[in-house]
Amino acid sequence: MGRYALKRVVSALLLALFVSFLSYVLVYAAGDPAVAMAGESGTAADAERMRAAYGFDQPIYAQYLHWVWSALHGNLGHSLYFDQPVSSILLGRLGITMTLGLSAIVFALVLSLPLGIAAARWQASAIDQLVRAVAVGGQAMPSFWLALLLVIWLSVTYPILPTSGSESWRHFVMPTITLGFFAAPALIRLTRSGMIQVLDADYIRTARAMGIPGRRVLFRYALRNAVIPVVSLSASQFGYMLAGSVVVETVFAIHGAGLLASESIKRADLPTIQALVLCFSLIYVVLTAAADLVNAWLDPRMRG
Amino acid sequence: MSLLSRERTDKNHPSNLVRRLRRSARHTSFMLGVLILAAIVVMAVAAPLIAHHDPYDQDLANRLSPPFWLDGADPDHWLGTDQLGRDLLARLVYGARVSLGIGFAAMLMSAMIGITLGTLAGYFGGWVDVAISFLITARLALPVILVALAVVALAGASLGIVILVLGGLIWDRFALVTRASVQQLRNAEFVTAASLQGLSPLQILFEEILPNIVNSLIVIATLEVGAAIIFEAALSFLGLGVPPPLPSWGRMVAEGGSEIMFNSWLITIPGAMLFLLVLAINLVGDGLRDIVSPDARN
Amino acid sequence: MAASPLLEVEGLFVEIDTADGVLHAVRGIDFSLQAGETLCIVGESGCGKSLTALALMGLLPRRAQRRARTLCFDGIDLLAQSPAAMRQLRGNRLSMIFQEPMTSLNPAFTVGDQIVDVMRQHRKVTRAEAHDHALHLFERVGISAAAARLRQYPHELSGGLRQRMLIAMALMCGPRLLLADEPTTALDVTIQAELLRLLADLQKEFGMALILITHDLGLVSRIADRIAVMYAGEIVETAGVEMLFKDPMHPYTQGLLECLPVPGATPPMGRLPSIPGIVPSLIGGRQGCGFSERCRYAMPECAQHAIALRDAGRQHDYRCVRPPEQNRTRAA
Repeated sequence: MGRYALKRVVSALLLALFVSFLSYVLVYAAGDPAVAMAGESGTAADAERMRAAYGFDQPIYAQYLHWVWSALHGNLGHSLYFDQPVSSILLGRLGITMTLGLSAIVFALVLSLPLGIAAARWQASAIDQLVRAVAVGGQAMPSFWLALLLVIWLSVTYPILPTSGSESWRHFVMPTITLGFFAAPALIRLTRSGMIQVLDADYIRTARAMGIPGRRVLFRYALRNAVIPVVSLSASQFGYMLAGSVVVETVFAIHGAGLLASESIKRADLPTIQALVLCFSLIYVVLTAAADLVNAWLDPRMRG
Repeated sequence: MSLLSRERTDKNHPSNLVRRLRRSARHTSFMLGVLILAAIVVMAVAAPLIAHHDPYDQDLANRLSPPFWLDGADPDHWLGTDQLGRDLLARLVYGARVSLGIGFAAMLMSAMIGITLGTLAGYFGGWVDVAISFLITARLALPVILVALAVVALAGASLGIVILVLGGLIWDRFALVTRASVQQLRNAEFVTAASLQGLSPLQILFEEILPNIVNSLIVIATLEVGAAIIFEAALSFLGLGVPPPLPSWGRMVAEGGSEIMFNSWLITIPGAMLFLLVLAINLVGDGLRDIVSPDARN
Repeated sequence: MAASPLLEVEGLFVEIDTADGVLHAVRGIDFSLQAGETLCIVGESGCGKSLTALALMGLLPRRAQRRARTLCFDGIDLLAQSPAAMRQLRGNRLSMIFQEPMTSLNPAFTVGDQIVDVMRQHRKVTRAEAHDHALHLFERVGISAAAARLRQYPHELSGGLRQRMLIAMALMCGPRLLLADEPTTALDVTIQAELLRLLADLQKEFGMALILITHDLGLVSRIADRIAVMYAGEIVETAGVEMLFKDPMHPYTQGLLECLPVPGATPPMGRLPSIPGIVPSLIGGRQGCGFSERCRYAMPECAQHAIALRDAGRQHDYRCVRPPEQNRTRAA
């Protein structure tokens, strides 16, 4: 188990590094960052100054290595817009986004697990059809539309919840629901198909043949096995939700990392963008590695 | 000691397949999806016939005219007008072209990238596979919306850029499925037989392996069109998608945002179109998956 | 005067709803079993023997339905039992083991957890008491280092070992009847004989009845008291083990016995005889005898109406149009 954990951690770190390098390259492929940072009103001379100041005249790999080196020392660059070190801005905003993501994934699981289990338990019944419809519908719904619909419904027509901002817990209700619905369909489907497969297994037949009651078979014997893929999916869904938070935070004006990302992009604040891409992918990578480790704990076969 | 006994019920006999399809409730949803999708495609193709106005025409005297089911509706603008007086129905109908066009083009590009990568990884294995698998995992770790936004912002928003960015980012499912299928088939007996016959790897790939995975790829392709459409809509919503004044449903929702208090139809109608289109595509894709491999339904 | 039977089955039907019509897997079979007796149900795959056992246990798959005139176990009418009542019987007074030991244990829990759970389901015992009982049974079924084994996960164990554990699990509450559905088919030939002997020993020791389901007529001779031969959903012959081997009445049984290679008698390089033809479809109704298309004695009337059971004396029944004197192939 220890060796497996080590392998996972090492590959996770390598992955994060590679992703950050990729984003570096992509940004350069897209356009000249010096020009972008100089802005629309900037002249060629301004762009040249930017280039020299930020070292854009150096080869890409040199810039990248320089950046990685600073990052390892906690220096994620200096934000052009805020005129502060990126790290000081990032931490607070990231915290808000993580809170949002966490409540959203909890909401998604609380919604998806019972629905998936019910659909599997009463397969081909009306309940199953309904659950499948919810999953299909949820998958087709653009999150920004759902967000605005919720605002229309719960804020404009029936003023129950606040429209925007992030002061109180009430401000997080609609964003949580929106993000949760983003992740739920895949979780519902996986739970359902996993349970159906497990319930068909020989060892469940054994449990029933030995007189174990239905509820115990479902929630102890079957779920333990069916939940393994769900753990992995939850981790990657959380990662996607962080990226999807860009949209949700924009709609609800929540000052999290997602909103920071889209604002920084519009302001061509490259150091901030780079740092954010690194953070998001690092979180995804760490989460999926953690999920693998949890799986190894849940499934004894994987420890060998 | 065993005695001969043969299954009289051949599962793959055509009449049994058809009977199974008919009994499956999924069949209804598949047909529903096909119907809706066909309707939207027809709407996009026949746009000039359906819309009586030019989607770019601004008519500031007739701004924010409500749709026909609300009071004060203008019979000339069936679904109303937006803040610049542009006819909503026209923008909706021409917007279908944008969504479908971008969705399809991005899917094609991502298919080319993903299938190529997946085939290389699945067929050659070894270091090639390790490298490509690493690449795929890296792609999965990438916050795609962020990267897409950044690239479009830096390169300038245009139809071509949007398609390139989308196609260059959503190839992961193609790659994964192709890789798994090719890996599986590579060891199949008929492939070994073909190589013994002297066929080159390229010939084997195109004549033996790829025809067998076309079915699952069609399913993926369908679902990816839907994914591309939502992705484009999100980019346009955030202001970094298809450039104005091209009608994009995503941007229409964003533009309608300021009118959320009193003229919310500007938000709900374009969003509903997006929802319907992607829903139809997903239903078709799921239905295709059932036809192709009914055991995979669960 | 025979005591009242432990198990009485009359007119058992099992029907399965399929895409191609109703599949009549079991077509009105009758058999009975005394306490402590071993009955072997023999037949090829698809003849309905497994479904018979599942029907008794109330474990038929979703699309299948059973009906019977009588289904009586230990004085209990199984047809009238609620699902909750059936659950109380299973693993308790009525146990079953299956063919695939490799997949019949839950991979997420230790063997000990699973076995202890079964006992605690039916008896008010503490975990420690159930654990001790499991240890005891493990030794009885021939598992060494029992304490260590109980802490292991199924994937760490061989097929033979797992099957012994499943037998132990089935015996935790001292059942009166054990149904064994091809328990040795998936295992090595060398282990097969061992396990069957084990079952026979345990049966005598626990005083329980055993129904052994198998396709291997050769395996059966050592362990059975009586044998029921099934073909295409019907029991075509029932007899004591010696009677069946010495004096088979039904043409299908005769064919089966002829197919068995006999060491010493069967010529080494010759072809083994086989029964020509194939099993009839189980879908839809059937006129007359299911074996008639392959039978060497077939006559027009065989395919016309349902065939009644014939008595060949000494608790030997078979389902054929022809009387015993005509079907007898060996000197009685």
